[in-house]
Amino acid sequence: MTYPGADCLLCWGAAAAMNSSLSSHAETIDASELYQVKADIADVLTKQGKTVVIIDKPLDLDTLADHSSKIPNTSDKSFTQFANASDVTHLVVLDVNYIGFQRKYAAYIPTSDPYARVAARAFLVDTNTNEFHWYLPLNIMRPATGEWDEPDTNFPGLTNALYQALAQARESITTPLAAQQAIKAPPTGNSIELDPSNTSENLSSNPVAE
Amino acid sequence: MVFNTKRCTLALLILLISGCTSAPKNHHASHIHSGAKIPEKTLFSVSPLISDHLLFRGAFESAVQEQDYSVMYMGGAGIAGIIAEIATHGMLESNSQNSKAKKAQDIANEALIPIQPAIEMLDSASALDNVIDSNPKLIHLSAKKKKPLLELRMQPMFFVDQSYSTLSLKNIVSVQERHQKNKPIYQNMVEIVSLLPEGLEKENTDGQLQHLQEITQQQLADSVSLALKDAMSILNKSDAMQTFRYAEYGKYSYERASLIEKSCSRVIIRTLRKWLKSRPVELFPDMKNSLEKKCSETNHETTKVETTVTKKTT
Repeated sequence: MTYPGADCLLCWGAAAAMNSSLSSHAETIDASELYQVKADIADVLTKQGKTVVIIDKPLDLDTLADHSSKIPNTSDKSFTQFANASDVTHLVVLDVNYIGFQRKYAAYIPTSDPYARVAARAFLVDTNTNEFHWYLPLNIMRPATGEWDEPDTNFPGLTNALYQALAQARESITTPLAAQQAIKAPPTGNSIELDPSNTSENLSSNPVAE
Repeated sequence: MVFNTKRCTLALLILLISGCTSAPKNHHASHIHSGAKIPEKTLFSVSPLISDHLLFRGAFESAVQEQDYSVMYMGGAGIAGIIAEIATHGMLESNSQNSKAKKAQDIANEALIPIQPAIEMLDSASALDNVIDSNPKLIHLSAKKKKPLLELRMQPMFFVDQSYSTLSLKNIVSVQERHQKNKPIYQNMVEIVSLLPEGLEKENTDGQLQHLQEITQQQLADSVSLALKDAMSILNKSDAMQTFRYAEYGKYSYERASLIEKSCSRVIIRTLRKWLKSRPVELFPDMKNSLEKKCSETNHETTKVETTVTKKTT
């Protein structure tokens, strides 16, 4: 759980103490449902006649070599290792930055109720040129359904909001991909790999890249 | 001076702890669930409804109006400034949310105008009689043959979708010992959603009244039946949670819940708040096709829940 606006150390401490039960609850939520999106994407692409290989192993984007190019819409990371290693022409990457709850603060004072947030980006990159063929930033925020402050019952309103955000993220990724015929799709028969780059998949305990 | 400082510190602490208060929400959206197992052979007397008429409202997506509006008023320097800052912010935010919620409800209620004459003819007494007649466990409060120990109370509220596609009943059902004002033995919110016949708003008042009477009475009976099964712990107790997707307000909504029953016509789920929700299969796109296929093959119902309303209206 994070507290945007609680900028000083003491403010953050006060905010963390005030929301400790929600923060503890966030750690117990299973967000693995989002990663089922791999199967959804594979299904969509297979229906479009592409050969799909799902990569189960998480990818840390920071470990990839840097790449620079004057061509627009090109990744600053190099994905060519996938082309060299396994004849993969394109890679679909889901880079998850945040899954959890947030509450806005002005120093010590909460200025909003807590809400669920899922922040990620999904993209389809050409492994030979590192050119993005499709890029989707996601920042889904959902308020609690009904009351939020129900610690005795494990915050059902906020928990539901988080699952709503996760489901919405899955749908936001697969729907445009299913309709995406305008991208420079690889010729039929070439393979696409799906890679969940879940560099920060743990709930709420990670710093937020706003 | 010392006294004033203490008072200021206390006020500041209270404000810091409470922060911004959320806008008060409809009691139909508050958390309500408490329960203890009631023996299956229990009979229940039914209390009359508070209102003479069934209560209707226009349905709108509450999640939209419950967004936060976090603009912070910057107060002056010092402790007085901070207190003024918090108080002003809390007041502004609360007022903002209240007025937005009221405005959204007023707009949603405009959907009722074409069916208002029919709604006004729906009396709660005959609806209640129908509920009692449909369930052998219920008897009239005035009945002298048997003396039930428990009393069933309900607070139903009907919500009409803006597009006249669905009618939702949100019914807070509670069971408590007769003539006792203590905490209910059982209390839960049961939501029954039914499809409305196409073009209801264009029909004449008699036609609208007939449809609404059938649907509301069936919904009330279904909600009480479900609540009593829950109170007696005879509903399926699956703990496996999943995220259900269903059509609502013209788009898809998601709900984390466990599956209670799935039939050819209805899906019943238990939400994270333990509320019970019964919705027509047609509203679940991920289940509709598989259930239709299964039901056309077996050609028989597997449910225990009465679903005559859906059959009539679809």
